[in-house]
Amino acid sequence: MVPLIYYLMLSAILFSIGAYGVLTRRNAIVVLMSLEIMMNAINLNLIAFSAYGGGLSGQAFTLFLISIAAGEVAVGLAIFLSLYRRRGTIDLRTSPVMRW
Amino acid sequence: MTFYEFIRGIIVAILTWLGDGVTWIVLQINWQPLTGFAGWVGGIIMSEPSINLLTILSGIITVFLIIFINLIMMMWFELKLFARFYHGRGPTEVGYAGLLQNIAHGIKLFMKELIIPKKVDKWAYLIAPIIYIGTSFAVFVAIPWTEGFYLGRKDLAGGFLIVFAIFSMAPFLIFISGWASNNKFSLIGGIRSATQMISYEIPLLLSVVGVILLAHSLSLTEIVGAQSQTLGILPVWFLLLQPLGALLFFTAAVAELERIPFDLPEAEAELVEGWKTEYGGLRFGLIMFTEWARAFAGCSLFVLLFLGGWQGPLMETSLFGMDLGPIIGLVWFFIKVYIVFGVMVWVRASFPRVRIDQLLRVCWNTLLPLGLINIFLTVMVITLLSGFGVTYAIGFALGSFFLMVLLLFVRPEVEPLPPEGTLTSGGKKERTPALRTLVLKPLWVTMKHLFRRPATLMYPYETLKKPHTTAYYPVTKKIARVYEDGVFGVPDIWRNYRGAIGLDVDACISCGLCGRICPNRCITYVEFPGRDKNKKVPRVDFGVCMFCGLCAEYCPKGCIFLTSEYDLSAFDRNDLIYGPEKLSMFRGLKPETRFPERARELPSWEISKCIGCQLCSRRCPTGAITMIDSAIYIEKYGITWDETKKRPKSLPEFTGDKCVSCGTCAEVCPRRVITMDTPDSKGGIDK
Amino acid sequence: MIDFELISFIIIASIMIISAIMVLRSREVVHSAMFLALTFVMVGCTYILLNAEYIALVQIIIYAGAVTVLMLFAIMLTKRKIMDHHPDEKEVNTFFELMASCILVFLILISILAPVFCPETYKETFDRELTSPGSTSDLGSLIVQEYMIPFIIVGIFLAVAILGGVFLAREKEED
Repeated sequence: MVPLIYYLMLSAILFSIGAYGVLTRRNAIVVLMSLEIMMNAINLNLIAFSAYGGGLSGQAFTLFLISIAAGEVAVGLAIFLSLYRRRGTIDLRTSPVMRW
Repeated sequence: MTFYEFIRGIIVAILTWLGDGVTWIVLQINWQPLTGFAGWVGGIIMSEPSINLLTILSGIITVFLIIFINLIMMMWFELKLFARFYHGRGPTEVGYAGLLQNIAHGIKLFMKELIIPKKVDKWAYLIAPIIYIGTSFAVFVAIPWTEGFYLGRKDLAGGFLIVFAIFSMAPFLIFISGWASNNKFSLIGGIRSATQMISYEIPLLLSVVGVILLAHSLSLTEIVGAQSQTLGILPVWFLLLQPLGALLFFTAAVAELERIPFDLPEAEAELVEGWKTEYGGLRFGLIMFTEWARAFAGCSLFVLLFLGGWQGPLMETSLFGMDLGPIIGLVWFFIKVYIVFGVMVWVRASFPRVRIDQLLRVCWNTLLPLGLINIFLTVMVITLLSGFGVTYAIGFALGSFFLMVLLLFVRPEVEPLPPEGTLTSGGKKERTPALRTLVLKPLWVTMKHLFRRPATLMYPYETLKKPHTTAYYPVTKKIARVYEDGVFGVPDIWRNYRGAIGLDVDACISCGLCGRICPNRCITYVEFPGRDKNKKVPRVDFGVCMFCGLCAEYCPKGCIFLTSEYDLSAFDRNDLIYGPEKLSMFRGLKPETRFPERARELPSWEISKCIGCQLCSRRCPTGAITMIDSAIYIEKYGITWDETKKRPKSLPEFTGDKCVSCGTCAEVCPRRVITMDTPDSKGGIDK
Repeated sequence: MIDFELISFIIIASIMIISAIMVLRSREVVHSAMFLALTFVMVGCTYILLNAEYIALVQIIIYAGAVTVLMLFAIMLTKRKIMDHHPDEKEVNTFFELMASCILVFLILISILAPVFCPETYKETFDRELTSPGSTSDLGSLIVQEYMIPFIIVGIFLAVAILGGVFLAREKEED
């Protein structure tokens, strides 16, 4: 029997690792990967609560979140491709990406 | 009784028997610590979790062995059937009718060296194929072969989806393997392969939605159970209820398994082996093996989803009170899988390879809309039949109609059709090349060819020869067997063969032209008994000979020729050096036509350099050069001799009629007096 | 005797955390993608432990099957040289690193020291029992009955995402 708190701790640690990756890494695609890790941590949290007496709504919400995360990855990578074509690099530190 | 209980019963029986034996031994020894230890170990082994573990492990091993044997049979089946579509025979040597051919391939690959190329990404290169192989075999956890065939205690609730999930990890692994190989073409192969697999997963999944709707469950056992109704004698399988879905699933499965016509990622003539290029030895063998395992899994899925799985006649028999239903079901299942696999081989033999952009276009433009239409039609029919009411039915009908219009008419630009006048046959009206020419006609042609007699010659048991006659050679007093022309006959017009070299010893004048002209220097000269010691005859080294025919072409008497005998292999290289007796063996095969007469080159002397050594006249095989006294020579031909130089005693005279242009005189002359001139010259003396 | 669930959870969780850290710490981007796939598969296995088989399969199909391949394609299309080991962390911006590490440590400490900060909630989570929320068909009924609107909105979102992705990443025609 695994207590619920273990899953929540695991989710929190995974979220923190994802946050660290988003804040630190230079390569834009690795930032997107860390974002995906964060989304997975969220899903884990939802499913854990759904299993420990929360009903099926958690699983339904997770299903939607998985779809949305996949769509977000697709659009994000398309944006990075355009960025690469314009600047020749996807390094996030060489140029300020957000101007104007 | 399920498979799990069956294996568990066997394991419990074996363990009990072993336990009894060990207990008896331990009691005989009667040493207290050993007894306690044996009791403790026995308690652990016979406990519930341990028996579960052992049952699962044995189940997995049994299933793996059955799959292994099945794959070897499937490989044999494909090779034989594929060859039969082209009037061949397939493998026949190894084992009875070639059954052990694939084991021979496996042993060969096992003995090859496992090379890791230098700059590959080592961990990715090694691990990705392992996981690919593992997942391809792991799908068999969820594929039941007969009723009650679960590897666990009960049926897997998400049956079909588990198979699909494990299959869907393959593109990623293929991509990584192609990337890790440090080879641009492997990378291209890997990318193409991953693109193709990912694209075709969508029609694969969509085509099954109709089946799942009809069966109300994801579990494969229940899907097969839902196909058990019969309409009179005809079993209502989902092939009849979902023909469009079955066709879509088959096409998408053939594309997923990367078989021809969708095997551009492998593209043997272009990319070597695609993403598998840099793998060698047993690694490659295992990867090839998993391609077949995936094919087996794909065919099993088709059978389970659309062909009624393990159902067939004779399912209710029982033998001595034991229900034989599951075992008969197993037999029917494998028969059906092999039939589906035969259809896949038929498809493979019929179609050319599809280009990558055509492939993707087919998937996204045609198969995906067809899948959606299939779902809509199914839902509409189900709604109508389950009496949900006319409003729902009308709503679905309108929706599907709208979708069809949208999908079929709002399409991106496709390639324009070929211009008028092409792709027609005679005066028929031009048709766009479509289903009939591209799909049905090739299938019909190969099916017709399947039933013809195979035309392969089983070399070396059957060769192109008829029974022999004998020939007697008077000089060497030998009797030799002479083979005649082949069974199939050779047209009379062209009988200049390029086979073994034959020699007519009696006609040879030892001019040495054949040895001189041979580009590989495979002709040497030896003495022949019964001839003058200086008149040597040729001896051919067939290990070097390339059967170019130059010796036959240049021989002035036509005594050396090429025959239609091609059967020249020997175990020892020295056996390939044919002396003149062996060459005479082929005398009966002398072709009737000869090479056309070549232009003759005649020698000419720069007579002022001649020293009168008489070598040219001695060596001339036909006697075209005679030595006459030099005084008579000078008078006859009116040449002025430089009086300061010593005049030789005799000088050569040349008669052009006898010359055979062998070039011996030019070769032996020590002072290089003689040159072989162009055919226009008349030879003779050149001042 | 031995709690297989606890052992499985510990093994899966450790592999998950280690591979998540390796995603960030790999020198080569493709290695990060491989470890990301491993993370996804481990999360899927955790879902199986939590009696959510359908979501586990969906996770493996979508994440480990499709999203990782999408990332790999994007990596291939944006790389200067294939299989060239970029010295990616040549200049390490110390401020960001420090800040991020602080946040990370802070979050982890909070999660581990939860019983100290809020003992009642902790006790309540500790006492909860693992249930089986429902089968796949129950989930399906829930989605099409109660959560129909989010379902349709997610469908529209995916359509928009496809169109947007294709549009953004198309090859610009020379005008």
